[in-house]
Amino acid sequence: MTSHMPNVWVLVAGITVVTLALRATFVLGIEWLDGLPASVERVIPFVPPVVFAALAAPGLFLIDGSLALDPGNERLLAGLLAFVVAWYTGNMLVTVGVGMGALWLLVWL
Amino acid sequence: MDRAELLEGLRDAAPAVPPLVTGGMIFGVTAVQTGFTPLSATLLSLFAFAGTAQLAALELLEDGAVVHVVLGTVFLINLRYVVFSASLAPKISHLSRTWRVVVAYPLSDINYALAEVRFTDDDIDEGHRGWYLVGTSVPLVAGLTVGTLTGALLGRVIGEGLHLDFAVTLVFVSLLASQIEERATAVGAAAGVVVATAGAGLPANLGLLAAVVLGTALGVLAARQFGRTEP
Repeated sequence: MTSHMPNVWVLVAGITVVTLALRATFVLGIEWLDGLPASVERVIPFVPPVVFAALAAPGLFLIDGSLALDPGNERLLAGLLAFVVAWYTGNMLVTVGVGMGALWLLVWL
Repeated sequence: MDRAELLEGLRDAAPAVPPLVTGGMIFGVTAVQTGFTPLSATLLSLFAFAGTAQLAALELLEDGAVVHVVLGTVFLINLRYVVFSASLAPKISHLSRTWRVVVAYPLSDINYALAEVRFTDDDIDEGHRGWYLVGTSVPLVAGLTVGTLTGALLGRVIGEGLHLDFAVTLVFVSLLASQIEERATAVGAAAGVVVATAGAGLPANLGLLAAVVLGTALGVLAARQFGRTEP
């Protein structure tokens, strides 16, 4: 548990409101809204993969804030293996299973 | 009520339920270890039904992120719902306001994709589309919610020694691999990796913001350069 953990009910309410508002935009507002501008529609698909990469990377490449590109970094090795598995199988359950198994094995060795 | 369309929706969504249950369990286990109660974690899955964004929130909270950083990231990850909303809206514009609230609430990747396929079929009476969306959405929302509750209760028993927080990172690794469909996406993601890692020490998760802005911009520029090319 982190020391700065915000109030969980603020998080529940906030995440719900933000998410539902995005879903509601056009389904509820079609009478007033024109379609999405083509330029915006082109940019949006690029956002999620960048966010996923940015969320995963620091935990894989850094140990206590310093770059750790060595075989002693178990999370990096397990994460790279998981990426290869994900690339070839496209199966999230298999990916998570192999990645966790690899981490447990590397930590235990 | 249109039973046939409801059942058709249930059938179409069924294969997607087991992965959602597992994703919900990963969220539930990690959520209680991050500071959520089983009740708050489960209600978040039920109300927001935003598995990926919920996992992103945990990844950030573990590093001590503040509320507005979490909500900003949720906004970015869920921006795609605006595209889904815009695409679906004209196909269900005949539905009443109440109906549109009902089908907008759980609108997500899987039920949206199924609806896009189903609603191009002219044979379907437009009045029955709401029931198809309900049919696809109920098992998905139930799967994530039940998975979360199960995981949250397990998380109270399982110790932190199993490194289960790493499963959250692995979900993002898996999502990333599945989304790199063209060279431009790979360029954007690679920039995201470098900038987020280099900027991890910056205050207020500014490294994440910089990574998203620069990565997305580079991705868009690369797409202009390459066109649609396989990676």
